[in-house]
Amino acid sequence: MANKDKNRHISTSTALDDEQRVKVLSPGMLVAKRFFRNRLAVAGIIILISMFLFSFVGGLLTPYDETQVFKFYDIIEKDYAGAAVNTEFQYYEAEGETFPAVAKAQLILAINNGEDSFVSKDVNYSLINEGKDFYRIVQYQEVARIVTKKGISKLTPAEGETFTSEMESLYLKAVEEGQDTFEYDGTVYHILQNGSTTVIAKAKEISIVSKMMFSAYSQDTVIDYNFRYAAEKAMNTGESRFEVNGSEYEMDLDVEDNSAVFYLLKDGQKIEYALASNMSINAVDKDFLSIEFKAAVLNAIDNGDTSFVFPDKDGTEVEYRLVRKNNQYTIRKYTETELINVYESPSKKHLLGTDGNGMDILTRLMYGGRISLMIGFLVVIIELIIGVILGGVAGYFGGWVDNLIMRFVDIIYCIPSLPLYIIIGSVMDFLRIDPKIRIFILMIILGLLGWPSIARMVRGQILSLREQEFMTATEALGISVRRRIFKHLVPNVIPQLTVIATMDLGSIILTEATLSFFGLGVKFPYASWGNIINAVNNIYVMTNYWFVWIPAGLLILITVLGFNFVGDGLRDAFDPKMKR
Amino acid sequence: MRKFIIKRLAISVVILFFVALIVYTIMRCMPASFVEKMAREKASLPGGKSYREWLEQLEAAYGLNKSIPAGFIHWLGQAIRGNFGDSWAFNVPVTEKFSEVIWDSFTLGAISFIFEILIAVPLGILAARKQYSRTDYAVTVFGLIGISLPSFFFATLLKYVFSIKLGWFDLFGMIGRMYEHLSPFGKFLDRANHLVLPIVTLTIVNIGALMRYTRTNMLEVLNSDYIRTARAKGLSERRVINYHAFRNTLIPIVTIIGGTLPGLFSGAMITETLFQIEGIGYTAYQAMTTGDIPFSMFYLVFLAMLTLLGNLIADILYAVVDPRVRIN
Repeated sequence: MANKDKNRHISTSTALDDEQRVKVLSPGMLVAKRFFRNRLAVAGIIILISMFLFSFVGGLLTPYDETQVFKFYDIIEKDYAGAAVNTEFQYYEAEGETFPAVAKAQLILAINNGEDSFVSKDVNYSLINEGKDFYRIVQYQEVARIVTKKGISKLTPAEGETFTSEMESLYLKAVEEGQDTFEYDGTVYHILQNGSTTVIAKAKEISIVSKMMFSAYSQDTVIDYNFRYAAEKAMNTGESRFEVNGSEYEMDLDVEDNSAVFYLLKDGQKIEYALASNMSINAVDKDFLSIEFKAAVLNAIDNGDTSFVFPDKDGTEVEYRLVRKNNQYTIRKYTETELINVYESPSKKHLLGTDGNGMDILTRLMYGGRISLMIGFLVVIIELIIGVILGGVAGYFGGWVDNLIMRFVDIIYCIPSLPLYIIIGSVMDFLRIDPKIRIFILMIILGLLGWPSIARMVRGQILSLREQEFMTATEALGISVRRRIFKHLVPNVIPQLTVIATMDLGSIILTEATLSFFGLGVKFPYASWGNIINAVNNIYVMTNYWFVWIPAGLLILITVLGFNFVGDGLRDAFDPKMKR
Repeated sequence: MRKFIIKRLAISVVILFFVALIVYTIMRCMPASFVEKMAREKASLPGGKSYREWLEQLEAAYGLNKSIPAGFIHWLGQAIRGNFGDSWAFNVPVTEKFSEVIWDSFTLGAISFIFEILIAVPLGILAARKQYSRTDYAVTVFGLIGISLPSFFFATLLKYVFSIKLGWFDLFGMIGRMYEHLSPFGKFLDRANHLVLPIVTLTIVNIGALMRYTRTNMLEVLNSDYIRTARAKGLSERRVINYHAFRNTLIPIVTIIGGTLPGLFSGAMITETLFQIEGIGYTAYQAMTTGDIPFSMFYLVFLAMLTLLGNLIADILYAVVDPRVRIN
């Protein structure tokens, strides 16, 4: 019926007017028409446009940064301080002296064996027992030696030392009184009896060894060697007053607890100076613990309390909990702490939640899309440049040039690119290459290994094209070889190039994602869809936080699918045999 | 025909030589500190050789003290005799480790390959027969999704659904915890159970290409003159499709399938790694990420060899299946 109408129409009209003219579309328009009639291709185009908008525009619109870490404050119970009954010897070295670790071990041995001297690394140390668990380590320096033979004593001063007659009389007096030390000119001399030989020696103070812990009342009080020695001696002897370094101190001793409070006597006033106890109390972070706090802790431990209240700097009462474990006490309190918002479920603030670093996943996906798409495009451009040049030259010249180039193509084609990149990636890991440079290296390697298929296709097309008449015409017109290849032959390959480039974009994005998934491609802090999914290597994340990895995977799938739809549609559209 | 094969073989050998040269050069260009650190790390592991021994062995195998061309000739001489050195990661000769793991890879590859053919070829033909129909669209979309699916994502998705949510399969590995206590048949079932997810992953991810290829070729055949003639003669549609069209479609399909056969030995690196199947792919992945140079070098050359072999088989098959090629 329709045919009949048409025939009638033609037969009635002889004029060549607009109505009669056959509508002819340009080849480009024909391709476009065929392309847009393909529903899959249109879907692909829509996918790609939305992906570009998502990545490039979305990144601008999102209120967050690529590497912005989200934190929140919460009150959690944290360890504040630790207290322990000190069972280890503490070493307090005299100014300018060192007491090496090896000697410390020797000392413990000597104490256990009840010896009063030991040798460590050719140094002779002597220990003087000053009280219970309280020793003084000294190094004797011989001043003089007295050898008694057959009732006659002979005194010889040591080399470089002088032994005055005054000292001698003091020595004799000391011997008479049965003391083993005497003092002269502010120096204490020790009389060491050793068989028929008596040695008079000066003692060089090395260290105090005891189990007492000292803490000062005010932050800038430095408890020095002399004070410590005097204080501990006072604790042992029970003398409540002593003088050291030109100041007078008073002691308040608690025998039961084996602890003492020392007061500095100044202008008739008692100023709290230091506390000594065999409990060591230390803050977890380098806080200064006031002595009142320590006293409160000791008190609570004494009473067997599990918690106590102590005012903080501003005077508000803070409750501390005391947790006991053997001889260890932990003091815990609730503190407001800044926490990173890790794996937060999707909410209004973070539409896809946050990842393991506390970063907004949606934002990371946008920036990741940028990198993935950019890598895809740049790699394809590299591949196209190399592939078209080499393929074009090979196809045009043929013969040995073609043979040579195609064998080269075969060689590159045979190099396994993914394993090679994994190796290079792990070397880059070792060299700690900057993540930004890594991205460039990744692109260059993918580009350098990906072009053979393009070169083969271009060569094949040009091989058949160059036999056609229009090429004879270009030759007859005397057009230069370069122009002939790149102006007349290559443009004829553009349809196939477009198809292959589109499909390639998809596969490059896949390769990049795979590498990043294995942690060898794009690295933190840069986001890429692949390295976002990388989180599933932790089974816990995979099981519990779907929002971390499923969106990224879907984005890769959809984007690559979009490229494949468009590529497929283009191939059908460019192919005139594929009638629709 | 023989001349053709010999010529192709000779070219393949030359190409392999150059590929090996490039791979060797890349390996040699690695920073020396990397090599030394890796050797030192290996040496510090219990039961390993000493650092000096590793370096000496490396030098002996790779001619590190020689220039690159001389070193390459040296390595090639060793490699031809089958001496690829000792693997750093596994402490055994490379070839021994290789023969230990290759068959698991092959099993995995071969089974999924059979599934692929069984699904892809009929679907491709179906899509071509009903071009631009709903079926065609569905098959095309299915194939393209397969091509576009990142295998690591798909594998994770399968694990999430079937291992974690449904608990049907184990997450990793080739054998279950109770493997040693099972009967021989039970052992077989256990192994099969562990291969299900990897096979599904591989099949779905690889199915697209073959399906598209079948469809394109079937379309070409269906548009050809002899099919029109067959129809004009009044043959039944079934005979036209199954007898005349299908046989001609088989030419390129058999060629491409033949060309893929060597690839079954290359191992599926990503899938094997994700499911921790002790095949060549997973082994190579471990070797490469830990800087096991002897094994990596071997694997790269091995892959290049498989690619060349694939091309060779495809070319020869093409000539065998299609007599028209032989005349030219």
